[in-house]
Amino acid sequence: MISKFKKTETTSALFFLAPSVIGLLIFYIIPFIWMIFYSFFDSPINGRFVGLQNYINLISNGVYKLAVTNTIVFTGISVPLIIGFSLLLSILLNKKIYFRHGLRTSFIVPLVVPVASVILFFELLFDTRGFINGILAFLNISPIDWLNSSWAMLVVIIIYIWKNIGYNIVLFLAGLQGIPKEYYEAVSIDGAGPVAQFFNITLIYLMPTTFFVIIISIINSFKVFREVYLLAGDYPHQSIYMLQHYMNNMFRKLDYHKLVTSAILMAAVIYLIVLIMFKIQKRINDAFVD
Amino acid sequence: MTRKITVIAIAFFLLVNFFGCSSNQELISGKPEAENGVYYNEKIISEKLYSNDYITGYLSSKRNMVIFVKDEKPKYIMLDEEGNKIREISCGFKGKGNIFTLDKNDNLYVLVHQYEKDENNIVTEVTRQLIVYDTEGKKIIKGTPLKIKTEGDEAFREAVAKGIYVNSKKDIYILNLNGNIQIINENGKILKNIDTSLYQAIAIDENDNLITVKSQEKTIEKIDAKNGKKIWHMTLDKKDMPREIIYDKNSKAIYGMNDNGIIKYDIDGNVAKRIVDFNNYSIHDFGTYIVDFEIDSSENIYCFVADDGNKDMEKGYIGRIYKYEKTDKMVEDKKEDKKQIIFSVNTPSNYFSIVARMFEKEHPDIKIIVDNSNTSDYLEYRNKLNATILAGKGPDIICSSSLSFKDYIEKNALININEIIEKDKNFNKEDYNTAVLNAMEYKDGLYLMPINYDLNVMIANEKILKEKGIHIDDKNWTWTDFHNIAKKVCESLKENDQKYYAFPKMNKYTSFFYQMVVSDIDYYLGVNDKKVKFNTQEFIDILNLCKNIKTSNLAHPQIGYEEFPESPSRENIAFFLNQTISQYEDILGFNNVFNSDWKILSMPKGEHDKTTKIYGNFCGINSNSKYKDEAWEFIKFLLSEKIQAFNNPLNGIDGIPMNNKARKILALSTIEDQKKYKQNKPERFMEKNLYLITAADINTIDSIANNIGKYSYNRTDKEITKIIGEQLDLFLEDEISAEETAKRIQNKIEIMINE
Repeated sequence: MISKFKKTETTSALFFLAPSVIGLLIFYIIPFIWMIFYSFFDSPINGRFVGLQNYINLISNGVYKLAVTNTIVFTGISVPLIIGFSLLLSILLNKKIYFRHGLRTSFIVPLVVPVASVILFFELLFDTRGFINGILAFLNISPIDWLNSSWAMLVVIIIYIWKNIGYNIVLFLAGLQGIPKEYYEAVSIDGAGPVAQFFNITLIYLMPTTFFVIIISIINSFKVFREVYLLAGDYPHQSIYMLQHYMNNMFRKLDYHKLVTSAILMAAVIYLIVLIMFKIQKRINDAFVD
Repeated sequence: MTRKITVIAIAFFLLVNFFGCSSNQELISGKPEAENGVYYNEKIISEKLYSNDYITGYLSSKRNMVIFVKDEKPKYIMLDEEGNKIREISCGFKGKGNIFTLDKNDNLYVLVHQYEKDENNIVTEVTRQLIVYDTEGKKIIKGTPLKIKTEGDEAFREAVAKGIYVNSKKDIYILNLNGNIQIINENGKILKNIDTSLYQAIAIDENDNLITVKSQEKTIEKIDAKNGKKIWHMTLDKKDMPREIIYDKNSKAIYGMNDNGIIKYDIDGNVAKRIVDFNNYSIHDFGTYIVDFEIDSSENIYCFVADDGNKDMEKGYIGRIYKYEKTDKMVEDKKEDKKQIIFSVNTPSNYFSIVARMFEKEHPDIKIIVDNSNTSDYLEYRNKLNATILAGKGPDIICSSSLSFKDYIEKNALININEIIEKDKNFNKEDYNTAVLNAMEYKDGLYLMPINYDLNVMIANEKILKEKGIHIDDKNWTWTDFHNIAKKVCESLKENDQKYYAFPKMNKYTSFFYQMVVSDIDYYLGVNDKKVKFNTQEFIDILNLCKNIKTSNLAHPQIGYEEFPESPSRENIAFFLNQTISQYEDILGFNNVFNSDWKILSMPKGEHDKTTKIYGNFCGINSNSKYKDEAWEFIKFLLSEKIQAFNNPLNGIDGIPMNNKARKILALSTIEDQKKYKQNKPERFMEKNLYLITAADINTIDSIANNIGKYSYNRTDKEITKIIGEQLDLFLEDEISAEETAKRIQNKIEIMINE
């Protein structure tokens, strides 16, 4: 009797899940498997089977290496920066200050503003005759061509942090509010200052949130391609030419085998990173529980 | 509490969706759909109708047609539904009686036009007279003739009517050639003007409101005739805009006709259905112009067609009547037995549909579907094409001039036509312009077959060149030579010498300099030696040359391209840059460039590559196609002498034909036609300062075509254009130096090539 009830429950659950699962299958899972097949052929039209040659070609391609380097540099700089800033800001916002709610909302706004408006604003800021160069001229410094020199990476980092800091703040705030106040009170009775409190209580209890935020931030660092593409086109300055530029251009040129190869490599790397992060987190959690 | 809020919110959204999208007076765009289950049979019910103007007809209340013809003398004939002649009404007037209509009692109202011409055959006076005949042919009203002087084209278009309409109260509406609507009384006196907007066609509904077509604004409007106020209006896509409209009082529907077919709009103009698509029938033969149409109460359609190409000089215009009978079943044979070829092209002209129908008549086992839906957005067209090719499908023939063909050729998306030509005994390359064929080869293979081509030329002011003693070898000259010649033109040696300029004022120099910069694109891209050479002194020198030309006073300070035809001091300019010749007729207007002493020159070439820019309709066969041989047959048909020798300006395409014999025929007929044009309409020739083409001009154009060198596939690559164009723009506006420009282009192109 109970098993029959469980069975109908399972079937009805599957029934309700079916639309989403079918959508996921058709638009994500099956194309992904198809892509893996494609990556072993040398041309999208009448190609021959070439095994791992595509992967070897890709890894030895200079432009691909440039894209990977730029992506790693960008992610390596911007993710720690954004986590540091958002952690700081969320701790500040957790205390009782004026306009706390207003400030919290204002950090979310960059996430919801349409990209085209954001681009307009950033062009105004960073153009050769834009706002920032105007200030520099006022200070008698010669103008810098922001997007076409090695400063371009800085611009992209600024855009990334500006846009995604709100999301991280929300996550951190949620995590901070999950730490009971009693812990702080207990530690302060023992004579620990704010810095010690931070390192011994906040960081430890924020660990799961932090891992999650790191992964989300890494994924968001790939999404910054949208703004960069709208600002600088298909072929930007070489320091901000990233993996997505490479993939976008391969699509345009009908080089789908290169596209799928690089996409699969990227997916594999992200999968590895997430796996490692989860393992570390589990290890720390287990150590902590003990 | 939250549950209540959720339920209310959902109910609110549902309500908004149901009532928010109600139909209001304005519709943004009605899209026509083919009606299901209804099919029209086409047949010709009457031929060889002669008149002194385009044949048009009206349906009487008994579903008989009345048409104005002129065999020996002018008369109106009445035909029944099958085109058999019932009776004649002879006219008692001289002149043209083709502007007529029938009122609800079948009385015939005609606005007779008579022209007075002077010794140059120019119309100086138009006489209009209203005559009304009853059903027996007796004149019941004879208005007084109204003489209107017509000096010039505008007055002519104001005086001559395009149509006459009578409402239930016997008010008479006249639509003139210039788009004005007037209400006249029996004597032709204008009682009222309705809003001097440009109307193309009008119809009257049962409440005597006017339904009007404004083609420039792409709208159909219903106007209250008493006060001129708009009742509703409907905005349409260009392809749904009618040229003529009819209002059916019984079904209260509006029918419109344009070159693509017959469209039905409902009373509020909300839904448009294309009930007949002319592209599926043979009405669009070469040389026909669909003048007008009528619909009877069973929704059978009658189309009045003028055989423009066969105009008989003595008998005048020849007309035919096509009838489209409504049936419930398809008479056409099954499509499954036929081989289907999809021909994808991005011009809006229906030339290819016409040729496809003619091809299908000769090859009944092949069906050709012409897909010209994507004519506006290049990116959308390209993305859709890429997606279908990737999926293993795509159109069988791709016909375009502006795609980045290199990508498709490199990916083996197009087959090598040379291989097919070798196996085909019926095709001889010598029959076609071999210079253009050789130009289109890519790495020893031919992947695109040009159907026709346009030439990019420069027009030079011979007077200045002779005066300065400059001789140009336009087969071999380069941009540096051009710069030196331009400088020589502009220097004045003596004090009182006339000051000449090299070219007109340019608002944006980018496109001109872009041509200069990319004329050696294959060299700089390192096509042969694999080294990208933008960051070299040579390229920087070219950039500086562009800057030099821009800042030196080689351009005329006031006269730009738009001012050219009007300004007499254009004679002080030596070169008119960038003129396209897509037909031999294009030379007709060249006197408006330089008055008499001008010469056509090939554009200068680069120092290293010898390539030129050419456009045209280039066809490639998809490697995924299942019917490659049949596709090749169609391309051969497009190239055949019979098809290429006739290019009707009404529904033809731009481009000089590839077929050598057809090109000669077209050249001769152009010369003949223009001679006749000058004889018949000398006032036009004088007024518009036209030039009469000669055989020598044909030879010049042909020799320029023989000198085009190779078609550079890199030159038309959109990505390369974008990269170089953007940086060139910045350079010309002094934002970056030449060295910086060269470095940036080098970096971007290197990334692009090595990806």
